[in-house]
Amino acid sequence: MSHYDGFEEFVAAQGAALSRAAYFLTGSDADAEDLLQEALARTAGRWPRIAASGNATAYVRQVMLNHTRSVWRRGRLVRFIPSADLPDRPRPDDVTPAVEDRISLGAALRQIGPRQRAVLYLRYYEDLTETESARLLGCSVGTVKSQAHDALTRLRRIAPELAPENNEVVE
Amino acid sequence: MNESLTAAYRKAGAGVPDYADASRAIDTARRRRTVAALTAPLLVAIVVVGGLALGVDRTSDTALTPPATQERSPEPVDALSSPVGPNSLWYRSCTANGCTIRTLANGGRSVDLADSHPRLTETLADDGLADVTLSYDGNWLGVSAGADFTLHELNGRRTIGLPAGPPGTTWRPYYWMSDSFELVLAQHDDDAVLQYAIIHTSEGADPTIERVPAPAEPTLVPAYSSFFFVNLVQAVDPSAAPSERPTLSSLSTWRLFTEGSTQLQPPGQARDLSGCMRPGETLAGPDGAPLEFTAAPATSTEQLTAIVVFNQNADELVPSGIIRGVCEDAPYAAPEGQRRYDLPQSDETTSWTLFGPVTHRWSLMGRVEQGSERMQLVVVGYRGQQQAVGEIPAKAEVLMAGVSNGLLG
Repeated sequence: MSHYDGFEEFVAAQGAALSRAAYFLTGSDADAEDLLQEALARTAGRWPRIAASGNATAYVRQVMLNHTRSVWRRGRLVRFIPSADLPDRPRPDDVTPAVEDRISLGAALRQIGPRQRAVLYLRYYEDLTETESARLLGCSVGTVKSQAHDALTRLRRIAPELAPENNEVVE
Repeated sequence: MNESLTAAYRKAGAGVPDYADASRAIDTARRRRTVAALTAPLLVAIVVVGGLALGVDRTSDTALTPPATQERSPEPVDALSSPVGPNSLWYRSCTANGCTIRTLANGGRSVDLADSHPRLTETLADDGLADVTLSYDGNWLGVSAGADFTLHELNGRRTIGLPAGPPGTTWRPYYWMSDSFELVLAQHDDDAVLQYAIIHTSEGADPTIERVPAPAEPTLVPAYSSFFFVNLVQAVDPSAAPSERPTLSSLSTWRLFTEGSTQLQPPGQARDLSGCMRPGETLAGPDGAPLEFTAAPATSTEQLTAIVVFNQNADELVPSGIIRGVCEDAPYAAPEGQRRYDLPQSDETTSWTLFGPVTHRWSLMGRVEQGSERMQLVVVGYRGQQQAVGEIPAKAEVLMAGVSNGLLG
């Protein structure tokens, strides 16, 4: 029996969903691919134990969240002042409405910090509560609230169509 | 289009490609396991041979040759020699073949630290540098793992560990005294601080631990240091906008001080730095506390300081300058009369990142041209000079000596 038995099947089944998570955590195709591959490599290294737990998807997602958290804790962010040109503009015949939406959201997500991206992803894509989000991020509920508030405030300025005034979730 | 954010995520998600590559992940995992597996039997073989013939103990990491600059003398006024030495900076660089921990030798040459510190770097290569601290003299490396914290001597064999706290807690290193003889940490439960600890790294003797209890009222956010004394400055309510983060408290007295945008008031000393700042700037850093560094090394008669000034650019704090000076009876009187220098700012084609002041005259920054995968490390000086000291991958994770976890936001 190989150390990696079942890993390829797991990736085939969950790769698309994990890719979406990686994209929403980074806002960039290149960074999302790096983030997801690093998380999958770590998962593969511990595969027998992770497979036995039955929570492989949650494990990969947590590795990606932990990486995002360590990025903001180290405090280093390579960024450029946004220009009118989007860096990953697709060819005209590749542009579908879904691709357009992805690029628009990705461009907006890249203008907020990694911690804010993580909070928005958990609250608005995974539809988790503030308490559940705080547990996954290893921070307080207050931090989740403040980060979500700051992120939405910023989104309203840079992409008002994504975050109208009455868009905040009330629990 | 006026859609809710949730709907925007759903629609955008439909356009995300599948990046997952199982084969590549397995290859990477196999390579990392092979490196780890080869190391152990090789060490055992060396021990056997060494034990029979030479009596050399090879079970511990080989000590680095002490840097030539360990006993540093004050910098000449006009010298432009690089202040970044072999023990000033570590970085973690990852490729498809795995991650390595490296440093820059004199001349900017990249050196793999696996040869000199195989056990430590194997762990750090896998886990990253987010919870690691490096002393100013490059002799001590502190690693936080779960509820544990261990300090390792890099040029010797001493180690000391802090007692593990309850599950879910973590020890976070905050700052080193400029002589590398003290490291201050805080034990966290989320953002609340349970207690502080000071590790004293005495030369030649075993390190010792001093505990400082947390105040009766639970703190809200992590504490940062003033870098002069064992005197942690605590910021309150980081969710407030930078211009509305007024309150600092002193660990040693637990008194509250009001911090305006241009003033610092630690115990017994009021310092008005408004003359060094421009409209829209603040001394309140990412967590509401000032970021103030004691330039290493400290001489017997003075401590040289560097304080980061931030520009509040669209609610983001961007490091815009360094106030430098001397902390004595006449605080912040820079020897050459110039108290502040500006830092390069990012624009549409170039991104600048501040890693931290190396001395009160120099700050280390990273420069990336748009589209480039390399980061040029540049020391920026008080006269506006810039000096390249090396290159690392743009995505490398950087650990700078003396600058503790998350200190720059």
